[in-house]
Amino acid sequence: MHQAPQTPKIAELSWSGTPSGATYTYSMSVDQQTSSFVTVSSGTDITLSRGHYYAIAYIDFTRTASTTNNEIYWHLDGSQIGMRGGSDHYQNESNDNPEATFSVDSSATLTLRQTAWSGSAITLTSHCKAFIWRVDK
Amino acid sequence: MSYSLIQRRIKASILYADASARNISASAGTVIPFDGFHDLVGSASAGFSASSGVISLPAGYWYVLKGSVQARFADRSGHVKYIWKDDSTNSDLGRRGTLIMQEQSQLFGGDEFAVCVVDATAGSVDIKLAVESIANVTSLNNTTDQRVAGWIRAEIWRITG
Repeated sequence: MHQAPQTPKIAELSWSGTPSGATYTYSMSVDQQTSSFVTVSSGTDITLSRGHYYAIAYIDFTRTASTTNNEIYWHLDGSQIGMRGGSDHYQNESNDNPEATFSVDSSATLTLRQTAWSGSAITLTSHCKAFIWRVDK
Repeated sequence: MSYSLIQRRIKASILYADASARNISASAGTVIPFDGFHDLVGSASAGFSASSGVISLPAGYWYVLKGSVQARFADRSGHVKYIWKDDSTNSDLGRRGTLIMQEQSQLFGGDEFAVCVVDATAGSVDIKLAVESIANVTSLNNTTDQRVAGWIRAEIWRITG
């Protein structure tokens, strides 16, 4: 079905937190957005309305040992989605960002979670930013 | 020219900026000398200009910028970090990019893209990509073995708010 071209909406968020265990949900805060479509509740839950989305969380960290590695995924309504991110791409010598594309029929909650670790947490810096793109569905 | 059918359905212009200078000596504070703009989707590049690497973003739009550098490291511990800045205030915009050797584990890390969102709906905004920290780097946009490294570049999305 043909759809008229539409303007994408973009939100910039900061994410932060210090995991104390293997699993952890990061805190999110909205820095700015091109038009209001994202809200955060309970400090961690990104509320999204009907639409098509792309989300990416850029990582930036320090750590006390090069063996300290964390694995991070986006979760939609509690279910893991998209591509794995983390430090050292979780023990494989590179850094990568969790990314996901998804659609929402009515409303949904998006969270960013650590899903595994090497036994301790990396230290996130203020340069950890997430960007969420939205177009109408 | 368009990337794909889905991008033809998005109301945005996409272009990239590059820097013609080669073998650039850099230190903290060095401004990446962007001086070229090339259309990928749409034809917005003619409205862009740069002076000493400071890019003037035309008024009336939101922008998303993703910038990264190319560097030749002097050794495996080399790194360079860079971030977009508002030229009028020198304040940071968005998040920094970090370039390190993939094969060399460090006690710091991050994605290579410096990314920011800029609101220029009320007036043009001058921005720059500046080196935040650098060590063990021979030069940026280095021509040695360039065939495997690409060049300094920035992707710019221009979006109507």
